[in-house]
Amino acid sequence: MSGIRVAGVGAVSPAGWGTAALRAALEQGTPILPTLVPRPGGGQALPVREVPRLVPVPAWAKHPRLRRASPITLHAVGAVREALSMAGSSEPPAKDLGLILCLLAGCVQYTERFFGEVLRDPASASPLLFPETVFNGPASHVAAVLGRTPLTYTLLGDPSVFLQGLDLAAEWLAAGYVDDCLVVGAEETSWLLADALLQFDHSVQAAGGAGAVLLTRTPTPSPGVELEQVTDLQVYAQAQSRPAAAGRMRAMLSESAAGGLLCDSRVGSARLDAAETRVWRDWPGARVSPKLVLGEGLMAASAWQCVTAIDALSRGQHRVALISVVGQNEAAAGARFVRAGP
Amino acid sequence: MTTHPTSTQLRAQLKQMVVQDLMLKVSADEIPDDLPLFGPGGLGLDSVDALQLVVALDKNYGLKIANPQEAQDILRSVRTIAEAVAIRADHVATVSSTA
Amino acid sequence: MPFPPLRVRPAKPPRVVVTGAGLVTPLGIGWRVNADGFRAGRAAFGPVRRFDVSRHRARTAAEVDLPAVLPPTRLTPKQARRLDRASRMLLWAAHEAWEQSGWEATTDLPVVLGTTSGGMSLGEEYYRRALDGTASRRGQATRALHYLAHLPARILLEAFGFLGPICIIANACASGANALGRAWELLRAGRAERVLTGGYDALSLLVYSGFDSLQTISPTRCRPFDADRDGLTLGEGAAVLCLETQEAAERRAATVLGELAGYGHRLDPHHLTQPHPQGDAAWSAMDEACRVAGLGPADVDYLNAHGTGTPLNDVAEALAINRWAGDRAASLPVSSTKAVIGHLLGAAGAVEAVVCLQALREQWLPPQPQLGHVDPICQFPVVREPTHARVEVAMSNSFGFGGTNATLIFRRWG
Repeated sequence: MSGIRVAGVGAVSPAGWGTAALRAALEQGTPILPTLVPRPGGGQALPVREVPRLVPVPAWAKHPRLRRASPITLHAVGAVREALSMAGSSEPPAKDLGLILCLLAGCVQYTERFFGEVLRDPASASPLLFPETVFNGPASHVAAVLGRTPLTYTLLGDPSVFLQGLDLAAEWLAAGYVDDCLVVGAEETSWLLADALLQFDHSVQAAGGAGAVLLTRTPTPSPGVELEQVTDLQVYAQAQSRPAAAGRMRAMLSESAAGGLLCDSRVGSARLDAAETRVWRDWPGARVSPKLVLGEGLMAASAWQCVTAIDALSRGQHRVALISVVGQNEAAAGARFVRAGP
Repeated sequence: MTTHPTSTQLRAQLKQMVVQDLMLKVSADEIPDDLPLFGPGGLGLDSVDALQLVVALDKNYGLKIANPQEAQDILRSVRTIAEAVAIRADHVATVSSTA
Repeated sequence: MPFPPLRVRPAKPPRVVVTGAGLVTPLGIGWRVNADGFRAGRAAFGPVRRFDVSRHRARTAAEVDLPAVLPPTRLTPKQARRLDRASRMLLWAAHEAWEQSGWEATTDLPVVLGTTSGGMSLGEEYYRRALDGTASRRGQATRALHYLAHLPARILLEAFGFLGPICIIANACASGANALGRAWELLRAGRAERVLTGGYDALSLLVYSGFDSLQTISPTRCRPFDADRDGLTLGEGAAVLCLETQEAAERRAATVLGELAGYGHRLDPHHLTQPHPQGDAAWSAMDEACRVAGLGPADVDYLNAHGTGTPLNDVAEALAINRWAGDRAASLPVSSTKAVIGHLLGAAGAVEAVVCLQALREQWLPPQPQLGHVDPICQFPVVREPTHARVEVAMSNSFGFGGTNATLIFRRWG
């Protein structure tokens, strides 16, 4: 066994704030209704699936560092807080944490607003917006709210990179750099992101939110969940097509026990899902595809897949859960969680 | 450019601008005229907020704040900002009337 | 780099050596022209030409004079035509490193790169067309795709015919140093024998306007650690290094440019845009890098400071260097090569790592041109003239927005 255990999980999604809302939406199974985001300059409004507003604003969201932060940071902090509270951590945490924050689109709302102001007149572009556009803004805010994340990386890539984040966290834990490590996937929606997704497929709707997995080396109360395996990123190239990469990913995932749960990254477009559907066509066990309900949450969706799997294991519904992420434009990667203990 | 508002009206507008431009989680009327905007015990703004106010005051009121020293004096509170905006407005009024 | 690693974690971590280094900066393309420029301290600033800055406060930057052609690689003409500026710079740097290393195509070569804005200019063009109802939508999908920070990394796989996991670190201006550090972690953890690593960033209207709106760009010229300093100068470029374990390099009898002996990084939660006044996290990044390298301040012959030239960064870094160096400070040569090529953001840490390798290989210290009166806060000498020196150990600091702090230590080899 790897000795890398899951101490807590957290999720923020279009279904709501918290893992319970995520679980209920997936059990219910109907896609979350989108809201329409107007397109500046006119033209057809764009459907996106947004995280419900937090009303009233909770105390933690009034932290001074979060005043100027865009929704992606609030999503990340919300998911992190749930994971830490599930692990019974004090507030702020009593020990040093690693933080690996993974994102694909990142701070799109303020990037668009700031660049719009630059195009209108650079002399009056808002200085307050620009720092919030940088990719590691969310990680910096999470670190400031927690106060104890000396080792922090922001990773970019397609949704397979969230599993790379789990891999990196496991290595830091094995090397003893930190005792606990948060791996977070976060995104926010915007009209430009929705417009970009439309360039690839008309049925895909952008979704905002975040998911957090807190990994630890210290034993957790049984029955715990353990991260047993993360495959290498199988990168797409001339020499390895997306279907071939997805096939290699499955081949690397050990599937010893039957009766496992497959948690995949299908989004509901036959064309985009073709590679993943074909690779798992003979999968006999239970299967869940969070994005069919929640929408294309990009990096946050990979986190939702892991949170969903861990939640099912910890509730005793399965002994093994496989995560399959066939990213849009970088790589395919897989992971395997198991129930440790009775 | 807004027409020449009365000082109370101007201060209310400035408070609205401060809340909106700086994304404050308080409402405009919760900001006393003399509350220090910077430093401990005040509104808790920082240097990025100061830069934002400088840009906003130029954009909305044509008030040009040339350097950090001047900014420190003018951006002390809503009242000091209102006075600077009023002085500038009078200056523009006299210049345009004599031009 | 699967988990658990295929190879068992070595009891004693291998030593990590550099067997290839490629460089694209405002000084030029390649090791030689850059070494000569850094050794002489020839500033490469000029007026901004990439976009209109008539409505900006600042007017200058340090731009790369990028050749129209690409280096010879396996890329097809179609793939080559599509490359944006950032990818082209990265490709030139990677080509030089790859040639120098003598590596062959393989299916097990991880890539770790740092960047802050990826293909930002493609994102800008995407935004303009998406906003303008009349503009043609042709090419939007390609722009959206090649805007992503990992696409240039995929270009490297195609260009040099290898496969391997891609890792992109976006830790603001420390990204380049973090990328080399991550590659070093992978090699020491026994998860790879070779890693291609580096950093890249191209100038873009959005990022230039961002720094301009924060009024951090120097209206005069970038003078790190100068008492009259008034801001940074933005630059652009790329650096790529071939890192491998000592055993792998010796097995191939490869030429070793230097050893990456230590890496430390810390997050400073103090503020999104300003470092902690005392530079605590900067101090602990330097301390950690030294601890791991088994070295102390007295062993360091040259420190390439982050040194952006802004009032805030340089005082916080100076305090951290003073505290970390202790008695050694008074005799520790320090300089910021941002005085020569500006701040290359995501590429800075990687380019400045190569500058350290050049200092080690050719035994000189890169000076800061036209340095005036040094800020009295600095308890260390700032190199102001081209200087020949014995350099056995060189250290490089990279700090950034969001409180990212990273330090690398290089040691002369052979």
